[in-house]
Formats: sequence, structure tokens, C-alpha cells
Amino acid sequence: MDNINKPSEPTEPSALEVQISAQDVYFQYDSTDGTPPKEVLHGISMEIRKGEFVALLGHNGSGKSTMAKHMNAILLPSGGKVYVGGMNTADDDLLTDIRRTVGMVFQNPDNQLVATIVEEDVAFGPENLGIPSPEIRQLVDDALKAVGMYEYRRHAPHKLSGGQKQRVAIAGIIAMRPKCIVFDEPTAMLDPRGRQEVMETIDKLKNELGITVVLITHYMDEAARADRVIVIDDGKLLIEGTPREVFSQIALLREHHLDVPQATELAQYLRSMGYDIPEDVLTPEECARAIWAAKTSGQ
Amino acid sequence: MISDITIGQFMPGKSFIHKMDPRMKIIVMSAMIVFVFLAKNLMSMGLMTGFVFLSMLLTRVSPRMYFKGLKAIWFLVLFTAVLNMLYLRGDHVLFQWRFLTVTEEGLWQSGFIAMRLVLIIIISAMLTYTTSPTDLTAAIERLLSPLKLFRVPVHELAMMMTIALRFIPTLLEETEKIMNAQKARGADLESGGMLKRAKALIPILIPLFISAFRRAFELATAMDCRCYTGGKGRTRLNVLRYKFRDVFAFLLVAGLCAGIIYLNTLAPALVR
Repeated sequence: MDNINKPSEPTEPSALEVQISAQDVYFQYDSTDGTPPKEVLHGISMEIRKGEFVALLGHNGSGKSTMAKHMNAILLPSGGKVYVGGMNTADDDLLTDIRRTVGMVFQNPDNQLVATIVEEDVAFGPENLGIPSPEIRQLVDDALKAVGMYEYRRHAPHKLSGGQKQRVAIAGIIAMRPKCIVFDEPTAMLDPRGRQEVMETIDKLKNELGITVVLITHYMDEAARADRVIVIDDGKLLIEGTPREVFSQIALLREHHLDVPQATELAQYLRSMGYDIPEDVLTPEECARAIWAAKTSGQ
Repeated sequence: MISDITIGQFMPGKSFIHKMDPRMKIIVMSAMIVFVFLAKNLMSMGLMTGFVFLSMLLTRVSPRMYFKGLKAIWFLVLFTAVLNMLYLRGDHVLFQWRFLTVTEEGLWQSGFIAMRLVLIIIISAMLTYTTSPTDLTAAIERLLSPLKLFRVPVHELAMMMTIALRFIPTLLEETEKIMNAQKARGADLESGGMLKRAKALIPILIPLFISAFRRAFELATAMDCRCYTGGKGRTRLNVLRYKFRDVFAFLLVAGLCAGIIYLNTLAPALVR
């Protein structure tokens, strides 16, 4: 913690391309009941590049949420450094800039909405930034249109479905025009329909608005959509790579109590039964095609 | 437009009064409440009553809604009136039975008191029926902002009000869920005396409080993520602006107040 209040040194090799860089991060929660402090992150390093969609995986208590909270200075590392676009998160003076660059969406949509009317809630972030009113109107309208909630702008949030509420929460972040959004299990409390709505919105943010996405999830099917998957276990980086590379390591993942997407699992099972199916199958469509190919060639 | 939020019983509409600036509504309605107390004879009270009923019709909210509002405090009105009637001793005794004396002065007094209460309720109902809670909070924040000079945390109070309003439906829903969960495990919430029922509430209140604190903590983190640092340097999506109709309403009520003062001088006061 000796680096607080010092100006951030742009020590990064490629600060332009890298959005978030965590370097050898340690973190421990101070205990309140006299027991020794619990270390959650043990020297973890990772890089999130601009425009990328990264899925962060790990089972409960692996430290993935703690890692996420380091990405916009909600938590500060007790050892190591985190840089957001070259800014050291430990620098107090840069706090607003850091949080403006990296927005965060949490699990429970109810606990993120502040105002009694949708558009006023979306305006909350820009209002905090001191943006002039006419510009806020534009930001709010654009954000609500981006998540497909514009028609609901005058509604009360508590009358919306879970998926709709979560989209409003996302709009509230987009309205601050962040370069990156960290999603901390955004679909964990939603029904399948809400989950799909939110995942479609995330895809859209990445593809149409060019926002860097970090998705923390324990749904492997959601992780399969990412450009890159990082698996954390016990506060350390376990493996990282494309979904295909990572999910083909079924044995390793199993060993650390993690699942693979259902399609991958089925493909693996069929392989073990002697069918000619590739092991890097990710989506149900790919799986169906592979089975079809195996069946037609097998006869 | 649906923007009704449980408390305050806001009835969305497009009437003149609905469209008024909430700050001006609070100002003129407070002035009206003060002048309800200053109307002291039949003429001035008549003018006030006429004005209030006319504005009530202007809100385009069904008079039945106002009647509902009155029903809730009907007993209070009656009680106050009767008490005033019996307490005030005047010169013209109308009726006497044992220690109960009703005088002409007492009768007038109780009539005026009852009418004042009714008018005040109608005026405040007019404010809440025609103003959304969001507008109301924004207006209160702006009207109280001079108190910042005395270090009153006006913005923080308004923020707390907004968050409270936002979470009322959420916590109500949660209470219902917890009650059902406890009932499903055999909790008996409906039978027994007062004490037993109060005790039965404990297993509902404890989880509710724990969850409310957890929510508060999460909300605080989410607000941090959205760069909230208090009221300093904040701007607003909707800026309140006085329009022509607000000036008009202001002049109208100013005229009403002048009229009441003038009419008060024309005839002797019937009430203290």
C-alpha cells in the first residue's frame, strides 16, 4: 500500500492496447472477529485488452468477484498493482476517472437502482459526473435505446421483470460512456428469459459499441461466448485461453470442481464411447453438426 | 404514463395543476394552508372554500379520491369539532345539560375548525395527487437549499428520501416473501392476542433487517461505481423551471390571500 497518492507511473509496456492490467495482485480481507486475515488473492496477474470479451470463471470462493472489484478500485490490492488504462487504481486522485472508464454491473438488479423512475436512474451516473442537463438527456436516451428499454423510460423500476431491471442497470453504466464494463454474475438471479436478454445486451455492447467486457459467471455456456476465458482457482490463475482451448481441458477443470458447457460434455462423452467427434465442441449447434457428421460418416 | 409509486398516491394526469412546477405548488399550497387559518368570517371562509373546491375540480382527479382521503380522518375532524363546541364559553347559551354547555360562539368556532381541517386535507391531497414523488423530492431539495448555508445536509436528506421511496415496494415484496416462507414452516401469524402476534413478527423482522442492511451495502457499492460523491458538483437530468402558468398561479393565490385579508375587515370575526 506504499504507492497510494503517488502519481501513477505508466510502467506498462503497451498501455494503449491494454485496458486493465493486474500485476501480481495479493488481497486479504481483514477479519472482524480476531481470526487471522483471510487471503483471497495470492499473486494473480492478468491483462484485459481493449475491445475484448473476457469471461472470468471459478467456483464459489475462488476469488473471482474479489478480482473483479479490483478492476475499478472498489477494492485496492494489499500487494501488487492494478492499472486501468495506465492509471494506478491506488491513486485517489484518479478515482473518478477510473470508475468512469470501468463500470460495474452486479448480481442483484434491485440493489443497483437508485431512483423511482427508469430514466432518472439511468441519469444518476452522468448527474454525479456533473454533465450539463441537455447532454444528460442525450446520454440517457442513447443508453436506454442501446439496451432496448427506451419505451420504459417513464416506468417505475419495481414493476419491471428481472431481466428488464438488469438492462436498466446496464443502461445506467453505459450512460457514463465507459470503455469497459465488468459484469459480476449479472444473470445469477434471473430466469432463463432474463438471462438471454442480458446476454444479448452484452453481445451488443461488445459488437456495436466496442465496449470491453469482463464477464464473471459460473454458467459455462455464457463463458463459451467470450473471446478469452480466464479460470481462477483459490486466488490464482489456473488457465487462460480461448473457450475452445480452455474447455478442452475437461480433466483439469473437473479436478477444480468446474463444469464445461453441456455441449462439450456431451461431445467428450461420445468420444469416450468411440465416436469420431472433435473435443473442442462449444455450442449446441456445433455439437449437433459434429454428431451428424459422425453419424453420416460412420455408416 | 405509468409512474405511480405506492406512497403519496400520485394520480398521473395532464391538468393545469399537474403541469405546475412542483416548487410553485408547494409554495402556493403552503400559502393557502396559512390563509385557511386567517379566514375569520363567513365571507373570507366562503372565498377560501370556493377557491379550494374549484382547484380541486381543476386537478381532474375524481372527487371520490378526495372523499377517501377525508374518510381516513373523519373521526379526528368530528372529535376536534365537538371538543371545541363544548369548551368555548360564549355569551349566547343555546343549550345546557348538566356540565355541558353549547353556546353560539362555540358552535361557530367548531364549524370553522372542522372546515379548516377539511380544507387543509384537500389542499395537501391536491399536492400529493398531482405531483410524483420524484418531483416532490426534487422540489423539496431545491426549496430547502438555502438551509445549506446553515450546514443542513439538504442533498443527502433528499437522496435518502428518494432511496426510501425506491425501496418501499422492494421491501414490501420481501416482507411478503419472508412471511410466506415462515408460514410454510408453520409460523402462526394470525391467531392469538396482541402479545403473541407481536412475538410472531420477530422471525419476520430479523431476516428483513438483515436483508435490508445487505441491500444497503450493495447499493452503496453500486453508487460508488457510478461515481457518487455527494451533492457537490452534481447536475440534474430534469431541471425545474418556472413557466408562465406558475407565475399565473402565484398571482392568483396572491390575489386570494389579499381578498381574504380584505373580506376579514368587512365583517366581525366569528372565530378566534
